[in-house]
Amino acid sequence: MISYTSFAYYVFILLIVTLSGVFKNFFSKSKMIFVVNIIFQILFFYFNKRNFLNLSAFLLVNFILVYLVDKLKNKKQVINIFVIFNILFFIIVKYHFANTLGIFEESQKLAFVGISFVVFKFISFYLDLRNGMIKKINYLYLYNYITFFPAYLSGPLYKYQAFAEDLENENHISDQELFDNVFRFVFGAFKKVVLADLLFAFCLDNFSLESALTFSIYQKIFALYLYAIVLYLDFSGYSDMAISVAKMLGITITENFNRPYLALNIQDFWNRWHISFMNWLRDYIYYPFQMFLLKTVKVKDMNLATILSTMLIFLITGVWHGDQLNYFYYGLFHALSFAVFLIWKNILLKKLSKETRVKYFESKVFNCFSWFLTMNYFVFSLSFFINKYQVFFNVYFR
Amino acid sequence: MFILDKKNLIKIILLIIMMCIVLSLGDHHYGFQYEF
Repeated sequence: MISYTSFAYYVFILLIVTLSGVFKNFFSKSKMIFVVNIIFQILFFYFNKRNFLNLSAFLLVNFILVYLVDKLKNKKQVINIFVIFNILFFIIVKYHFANTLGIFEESQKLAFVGISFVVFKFISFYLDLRNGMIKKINYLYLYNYITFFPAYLSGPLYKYQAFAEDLENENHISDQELFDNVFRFVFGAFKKVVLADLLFAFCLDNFSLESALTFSIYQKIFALYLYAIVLYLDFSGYSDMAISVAKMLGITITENFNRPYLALNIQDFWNRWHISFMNWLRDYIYYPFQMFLLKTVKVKDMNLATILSTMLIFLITGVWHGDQLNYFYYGLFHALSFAVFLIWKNILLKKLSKETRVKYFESKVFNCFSWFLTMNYFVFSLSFFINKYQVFFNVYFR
Repeated sequence: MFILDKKNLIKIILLIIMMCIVLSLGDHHYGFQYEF
């Protein structure tokens, strides 16, 4: 399997960007991206053929489902069933609790790398189709949308309609834009491969549990701050690489980060961190769940519905990272923190006059304090996020 | 239209430096692996 930071991948990008520029007047953008996606999949899964077969089978099943949806008149109920099918497949394959059902080994035979984002994109497609946001189904576009190689493994997530419009639009980027995106790609690789990797050597994840236990409290805190920096550099570097390659091929995909460590409160932070995933959660879980609470459960307090919906998406965010208990705590910590923040925000809105609020928010001291609090809130939350389960409990909570 | 002004020149120099460092590290990468 070739990696996004391998020399082979850089050569692959160089070749396809050059060839797409040379042949832009001979082939449509969608056909060119289709061919590139196929080649990438063969190279990507070359050493893991079962992955390739599983992905192909999963795509085939979903394409048959999409074909059925396309032919049916009453789409809504059927789409709901297909969404549930995708969610169940994802849960059974990804989480170890299939073990308790005695089907873990069987479920793993269906797994493939990149399952999360493939399933998320299918869910997004089905729900947008149900809500009338997709004008026309084009199977070539859909294939390109699901398997678009720069963002295949870890996003960013984007919507089918915008992607399809970009494919239809045969305009190509200017020389200056091309240069800027080449720069962004190399800068992204630099952040991920050089800076993040260099600093990762000092993070707790990189030590054995025995040596991590001998760290002093200051070393642990330092390692935690370093982990926050590494996480940002690594993921934003990867996102820069994905977004810039997409742009070089004439596709605009959602940004993932907007200087998150400058956020002044929790809400602000989550509007700046992993933006595409938070947008996905907002559109497909937060709003529907809020509507469900208000209309079906008849919750009368809008603020309560907002708090409960927010808590749900953070719990899902935590559990999505894995089925270890520390990820659940990570989600729970953010869910509770956000709930406290929303309650506090409502109190401020009620108690303070508009002028006083403006005075507060324009005050440098207040902003510095807010920034310090937000930054440390996130860094602390990462102690739950450490990959090794034993490290989490034994190193930070002993 | 690409114009070789001061800003682009600085970017080209930075690009070459970063590219050399990234490529000199080869395929070795031991950071996070996102395989969700």
